[in-house]
Amino acid sequence: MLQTSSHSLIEKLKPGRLGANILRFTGRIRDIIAFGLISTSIILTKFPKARQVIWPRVVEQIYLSGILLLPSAVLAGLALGLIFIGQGLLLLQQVGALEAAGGIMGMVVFRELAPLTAATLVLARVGTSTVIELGTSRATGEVEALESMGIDTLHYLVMPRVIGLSFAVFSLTVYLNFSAIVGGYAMVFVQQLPLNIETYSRQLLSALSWTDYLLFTLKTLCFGSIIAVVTCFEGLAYRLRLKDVGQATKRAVAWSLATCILVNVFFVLVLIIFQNTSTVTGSDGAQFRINP
Amino acid sequence: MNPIVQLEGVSFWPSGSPNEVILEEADFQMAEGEHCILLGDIGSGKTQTLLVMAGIWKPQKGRVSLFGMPVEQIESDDLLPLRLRVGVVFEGDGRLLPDISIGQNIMLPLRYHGRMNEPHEKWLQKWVDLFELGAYMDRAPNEVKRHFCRRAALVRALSMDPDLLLLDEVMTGLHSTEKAWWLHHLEHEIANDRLHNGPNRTIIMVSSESMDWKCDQFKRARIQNRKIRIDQD
Repeated sequence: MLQTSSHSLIEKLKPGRLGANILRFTGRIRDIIAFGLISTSIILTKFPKARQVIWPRVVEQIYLSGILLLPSAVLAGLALGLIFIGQGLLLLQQVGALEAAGGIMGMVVFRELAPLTAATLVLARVGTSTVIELGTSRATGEVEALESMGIDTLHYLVMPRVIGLSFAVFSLTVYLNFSAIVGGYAMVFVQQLPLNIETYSRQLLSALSWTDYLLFTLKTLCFGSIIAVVTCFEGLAYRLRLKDVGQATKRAVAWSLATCILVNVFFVLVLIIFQNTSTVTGSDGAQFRINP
Repeated sequence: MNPIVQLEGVSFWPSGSPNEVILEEADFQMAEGEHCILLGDIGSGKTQTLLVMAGIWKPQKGRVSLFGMPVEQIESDDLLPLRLRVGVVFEGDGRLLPDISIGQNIMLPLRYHGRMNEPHEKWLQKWVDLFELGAYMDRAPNEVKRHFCRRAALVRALSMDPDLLLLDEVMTGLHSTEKAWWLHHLEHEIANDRLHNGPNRTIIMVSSESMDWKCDQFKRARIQNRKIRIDQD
């Protein structure tokens, strides 16, 4: 098996094949971007059209990816809080920087970890099933059936998922943040660290500015849209045979995660440019300058 | 009489397979109110030809006109008014959407295109009653027998009161009494009952089964050797 894999990798890296693979790779990027742009134009131009049909589908997507995933998000948040914030607090206590602990940990979880964790949850639970559902719809001719009724396939199948998944990632990240904060303080309580809940909360709130809230909203909406666009693209763009569904799902997961991480890097750069430093207020009122 | 659907020198093949030509330089036309059964062997390209006639597939060569307008010259956004004048019933279970009920499937085109009004709904309800679908309206397609799914797909196709009705293998695998039911309704109510007393509906039905039923109102055509031939007898 290993031999086959490495042999296949060597084959792919041969000069002739390498060029073909690079072309295929760039072609796929182009196709996904084109699909995303067309989907965006459909959302912008057909947003108010056929509300009776489309909005129940949006609500269904929010239910499937937002509400049904709430227990998983709370569990993941508690785990993040216990492990990351809790462990971090212990370490910061050892170096005598406990007064900035809530702020630092809150920022890291709020800005970076919670949105990516929520996106990963949605991708794993909803994104993968989207590829299979849409792949099956395409294979069984439902797409042609929709076209025959004059129903725009992207409007009916893709738009509800883009809106639903965007709101789902946003709201799941909010739940995840709250449960991470609770989990973090539970660790403080268990370890009997000298940090009361009032100081802990003040540290968290003072560490975040309006830019954080704005970028948090934009980032989570972007993650949801990316997952929806990539998974819908993999499901709809090509006529899948049964044996292709697994490959398409794997591609969708890989492309969605990679794109979300790239977008995350972009948002970090934006934050660095527009907010060179942020200030954290300690429990004694001291100001700490922290690079984002 | 003006043709409702017209194929002139049409050739097409699956994308990426130019050697697997389905139709080659084929001509065909149907006038208003005419009915036709298009026969052909399995794999002869009947369904694809139906999709070309519906304006869903565009042929690689030739010209397809719907209601006198050349489909290939119309931008996809402008194709909608023409497409709404064509109803399609697909083979199998009619390709009903599996995640919504039979009733929602039937109402989907009306709701999507904002045509929900009392006269239209009453007219549609008449079809639901005629086709004995009332008991299944709240059920999912996979909970209903296949021939009722086909009936539901027919009502869905009729919901926009199309001028042209295209039927793909709707009688294949049906019991003879059910076939007789379909033929009776096709020749009478489905062909003539229009929402605003419009002209008789044009119906094209494709089938791979040999036709041993009496259907005098339907002329016969065949897909043979990648051409469409009208039977003269």
